[in-house]
Amino acid sequence: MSAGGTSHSANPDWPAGAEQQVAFQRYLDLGLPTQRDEAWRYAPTDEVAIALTALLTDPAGATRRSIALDITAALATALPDIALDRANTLVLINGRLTDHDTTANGWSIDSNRVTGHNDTSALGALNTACNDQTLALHVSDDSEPLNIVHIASATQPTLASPRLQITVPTNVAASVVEHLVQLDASAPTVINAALSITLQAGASLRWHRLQRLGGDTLSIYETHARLERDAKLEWFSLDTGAALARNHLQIALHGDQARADLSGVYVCSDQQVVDNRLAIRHAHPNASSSQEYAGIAGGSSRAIFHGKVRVDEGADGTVAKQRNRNLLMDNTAKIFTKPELEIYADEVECAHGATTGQIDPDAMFYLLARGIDPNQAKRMLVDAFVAASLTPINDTPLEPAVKQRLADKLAQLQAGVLA
Amino acid sequence: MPLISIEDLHVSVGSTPILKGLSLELDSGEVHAIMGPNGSGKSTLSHVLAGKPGYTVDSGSVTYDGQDLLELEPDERARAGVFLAFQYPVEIPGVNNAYLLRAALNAARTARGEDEIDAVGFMKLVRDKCALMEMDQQFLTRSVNEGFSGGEKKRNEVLQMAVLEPRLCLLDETDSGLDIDALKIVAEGINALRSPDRAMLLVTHYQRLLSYVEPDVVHVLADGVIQMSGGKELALKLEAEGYDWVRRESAA
Repeated sequence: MSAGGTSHSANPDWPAGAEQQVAFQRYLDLGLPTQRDEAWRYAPTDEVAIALTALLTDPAGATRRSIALDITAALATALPDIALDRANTLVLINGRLTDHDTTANGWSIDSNRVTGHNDTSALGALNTACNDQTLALHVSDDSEPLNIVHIASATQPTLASPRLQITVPTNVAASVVEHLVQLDASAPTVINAALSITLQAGASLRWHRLQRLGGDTLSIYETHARLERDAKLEWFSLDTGAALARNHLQIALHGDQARADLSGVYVCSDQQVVDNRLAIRHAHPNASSSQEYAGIAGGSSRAIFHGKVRVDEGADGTVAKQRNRNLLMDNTAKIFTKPELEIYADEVECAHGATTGQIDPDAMFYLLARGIDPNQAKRMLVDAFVAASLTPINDTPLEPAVKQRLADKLAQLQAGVLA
Repeated sequence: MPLISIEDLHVSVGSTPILKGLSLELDSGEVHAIMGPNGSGKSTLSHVLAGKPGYTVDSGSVTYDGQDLLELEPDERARAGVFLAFQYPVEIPGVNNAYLLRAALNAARTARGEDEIDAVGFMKLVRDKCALMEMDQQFLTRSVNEGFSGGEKKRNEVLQMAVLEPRLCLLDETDSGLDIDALKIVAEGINALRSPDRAMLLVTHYQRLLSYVEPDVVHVLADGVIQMSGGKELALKLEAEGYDWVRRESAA
């Protein structure tokens, strides 16, 4: 199916810039994804197509931007469970930077347009077409952790297209916590975000993404990372919100001892869809990667996990581990999990495993027989189930909020079961 | 009034009747043993009393401390003081032993109208009970039963019992899989818990536990009913002569 007719811009003056026009044409040429595309199998592509078509046929749909907001009040409402150091926090409303305070400690933020995104996907190209502001994050040594808060606030249908770029220089360590939250859910919002990460030799980056968007929002987030020699990426994501939360990570390891550790937890209820799609490419010998994802699906929700590891020819000494475990809380929920290894080298150590199951009734009865009430027992078993994937946030300031969000979401799932 | 009174209990699994009219009474302070051949319904009895799913009570009643026990949920029974020491304790990776113990103790205390125990008091209590069961305290930081040997699992059951101080202890083949040293430790733990306020039902296949924990009454369960009851000498006779004579005698 060609994206063709339905997706053409309804506004003859948009996109305005030359690069955006090229990108928009590229988006049209590549066409909207369908479930026939391997990268979108099981994902709700029809819903994405309908929402994007509606936005692009609305003359202002692609250009509608931030509405005036009191940022402090908005943060207090949308992100009440996290204490933010405002001096180290960037706030984006519907994809655009609101604060022009770009002096976070150890960081400088350049929000001028950066060209040359080289998008390879339709939605990446659409991001470029819609984007008139790329946040290029520059970090120096001794930086403080940076918070990036995306607030979706839609009183009218909105397409948010944030694009972030970060380069961590040689031997510099940096930490970013990214939040995706919603102020209100009165109108459909699509977030089509892109992040590119470059870690130079010996650089390290810890990136934690916590998503709790409103139940009508579609969030599609493409992340590309390139790691040079001795570089380290620690990735963690928590998804509890949105109608669709898609984290598409493409990581390339290009040097000796480069290391990417990815972990994530997702809990979905009602009609939610969470789609974690990871592709790690070992392009150089002696690099390592790990994936540790745990998910819980209840209601009529759908959780999709696709973890691919590709080991290039000659990338001997690769160590790649991958694990995805899923817990089904309702027989109406669906789990799709697919680990995939593509190995073209000889001396490698690769392991993968995927499981889907329900709460162990024997373990449940054992806890009940000790006087633990059923809700607490379930929570203890679920906490134990996700523990391995929460390792990155243990003993960080995020830990209490992450655990509370999981507890709240679980309570919501249980309420759904009772209803 | 007995602590627990089981009257004409009929229980089936699927369409198979297992218990076929079992009656039994235990007073506080008493220790009763239930012996019987494999498949006689011993474990079914302890499971039904603890509320394990998968069993259908077809008729009969169980009155515990003046309440209809069968009406209570499994966790409510536990908080009311019924404790099942499992024949096969379940491994629960990721749930810390001490965390479970403290949650269970606080659930029991709250149900009794007592305050929750503080961390210091809890650690002291557990240290004492670990010493009683000759368990290294590093057990506490491990996941529940994960990687425990058979003997360690059974000792852990009795440790939990010692911490929770239940009123009715159901010990389901707590002696199975134990070597003689572990058997002695477990038996000492059980004996330390004998009390005028507590009743114990020891479900066992063999007599050997009863050499260390002397029961007041021994019941022989076969074909879903109590065939015979007697003193501890009955256990010795069963050990020496097997179960066949019981069946012959009760058929006669």
